[in-house]
Amino acid sequence: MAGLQVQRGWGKIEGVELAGAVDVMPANLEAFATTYGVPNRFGSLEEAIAWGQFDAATVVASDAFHHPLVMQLIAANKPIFCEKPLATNHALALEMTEAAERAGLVNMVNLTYRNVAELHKARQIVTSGEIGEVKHIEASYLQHWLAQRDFSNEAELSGRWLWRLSRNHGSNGTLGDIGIHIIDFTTFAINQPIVSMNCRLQTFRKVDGDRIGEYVLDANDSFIISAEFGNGAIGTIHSSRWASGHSNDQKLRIYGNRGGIELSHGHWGTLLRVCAGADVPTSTWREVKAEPVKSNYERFVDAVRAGRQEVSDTLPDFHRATELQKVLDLALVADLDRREHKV
Amino acid sequence: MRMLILGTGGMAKNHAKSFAAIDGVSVVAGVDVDPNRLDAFRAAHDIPHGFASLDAALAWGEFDAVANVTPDSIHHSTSIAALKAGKHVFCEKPLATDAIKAFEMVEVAEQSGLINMVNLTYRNVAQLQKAREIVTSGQIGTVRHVEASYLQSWLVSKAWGDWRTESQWLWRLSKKHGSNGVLGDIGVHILDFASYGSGLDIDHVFARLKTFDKAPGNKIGEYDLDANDSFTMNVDFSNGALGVIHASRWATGHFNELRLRVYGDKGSVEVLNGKTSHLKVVMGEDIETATWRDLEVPPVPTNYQRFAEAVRTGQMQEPSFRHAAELQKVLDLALVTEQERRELPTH
Repeated sequence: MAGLQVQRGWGKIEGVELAGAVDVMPANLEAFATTYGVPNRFGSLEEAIAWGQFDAATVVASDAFHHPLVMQLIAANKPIFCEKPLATNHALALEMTEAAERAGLVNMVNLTYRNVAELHKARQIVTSGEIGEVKHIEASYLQHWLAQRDFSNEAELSGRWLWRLSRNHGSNGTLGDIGIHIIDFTTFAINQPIVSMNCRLQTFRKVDGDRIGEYVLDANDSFIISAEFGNGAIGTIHSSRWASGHSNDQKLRIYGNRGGIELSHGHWGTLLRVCAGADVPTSTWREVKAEPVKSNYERFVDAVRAGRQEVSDTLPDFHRATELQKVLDLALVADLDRREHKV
Repeated sequence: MRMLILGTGGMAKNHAKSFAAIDGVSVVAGVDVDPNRLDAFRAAHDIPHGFASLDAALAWGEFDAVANVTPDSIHHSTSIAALKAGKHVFCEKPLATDAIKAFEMVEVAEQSGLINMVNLTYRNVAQLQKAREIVTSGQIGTVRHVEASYLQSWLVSKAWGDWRTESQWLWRLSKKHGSNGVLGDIGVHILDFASYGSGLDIDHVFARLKTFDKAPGNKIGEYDLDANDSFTMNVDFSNGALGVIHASRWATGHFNELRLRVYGDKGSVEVLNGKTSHLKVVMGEDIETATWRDLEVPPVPTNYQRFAEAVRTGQMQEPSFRHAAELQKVLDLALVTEQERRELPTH
């Protein structure tokens, strides 16, 4: 992910310099630093902080290390851009948020789909009142990579895929991997939080014994959420890694009492369609174009330059990521006790 | 086959026309408590006999089968009476007003050995039948994930009329006028779409129902607007697959549209039924590139035709009373889960 961040973000912004890199794995560190021309290399964050010649940090470590690393960076007074999920549970995320806010530091989480301009446009259409009060929502994030894998081929699976299927290798399955994105996508677009929810998770058998080498294949493959939102709307949010025919597709359908919005996004591109106003009597849908938006990377750099957090209700900051984490935590609880929970 | 049409209100004309159009089927009688309605119906469809009650018609007895088009709450007593008199029954949906009554009907029907079917109209959608055939033949492998939605917008759009002033819509918003809201009205169709299309039975259900504010005090004249407008359902199926099933009358931009997406480990199918119907599939080599293809599908026999065929051959066809009763059980449980806010098993 660190390389992707440079390619998609940091490397494209004027005036941003990769001053240093940290990794506990020397080989990874050397490969990364050489590829991207990073002059200073450290085997630990402590060493980098002792050196200190950097203005901000991006945390791209494994999920479980986000909390200790971010807390160290906050103590060192460095603005932080953190990969999602912010932490592995709500309590840790909240601690990180409170510490960052107390220190007055710029803090953001890389909810990558905030870079989709049509998502911001959908939110503007909702908040402008054009589709009236939102009543009904369906959101899906569908991938097909589990249907494409050959589970008898350990070599093919190792590295990129296998850890994502195993809880003791830090995976919270589909819920942790892409659930956070589609929950953010949905609640951001309608500008309403989830106030109560039920969730079911499912892990399907992939090999006899549900184990490949040291990897226990116990992380969830699919989830379904039935949610009520802040304004009383109800909706369903669901996701699977078994959805043959969808490599990486998000679909959001928002229905209000004066119009509807349907947003699809995938590797193929983005399509935003709206049915509102004079088109309602005929159920005519029209494509709507969106103006480009600043990326998370650009917004972070702008904020660091300004020396303070951007004041905006569209910022994917630690606070926002902490709210999402609460929903993810409750999803696990609901799957165990099979009840609805208030958020 | 000699058909009797029991109840001559709104839906009855579809039954009269559809059965009359089938070779070897004649509509011989109509029954209604309202003599004016009965006379008009018989005249319109050229039906020789008329009766003011089912008992009177059964005493006469010159028919083989009954199309039960009475109000929902009357289905139970009339279907049982007809079956006990040795008549095959084709019943409008919902089979009964609750699952207990529905299973009483199943018991009588199955003991009788007579043909018993329920008019789940979307079984007439060829694309749904083909989707099921593809799924149950194993072409998309094991089903893992299902989404099904039934979207309407008559609470927003006036394309079907104005619900604020027209009784044909207002009663559907009011429990004491016999409505169980969107769940009772179209829930059975989308549940059937999901379970029939995926070839799977629902094992557990969690549902939320929602009634949105629609008028001052949520009342228009004698109508309390308290029936549900939208529902969302989390379900799991007999093979462990998860699914979401949802419906709304507020889905602006969709007059009347059913969609089913079934994802398996070797392929997927999507059925869309609105003004027109579509079936898209991805399977075989196409799953590597996520290439979906439209499948053209020839028409399938309607429920009316299949009922006539079943009576002629003596072989039951679907959808049976039992299948409809199983769906009714899920609908009943949805109401309980809305109260208790927890998932419940279907058996």
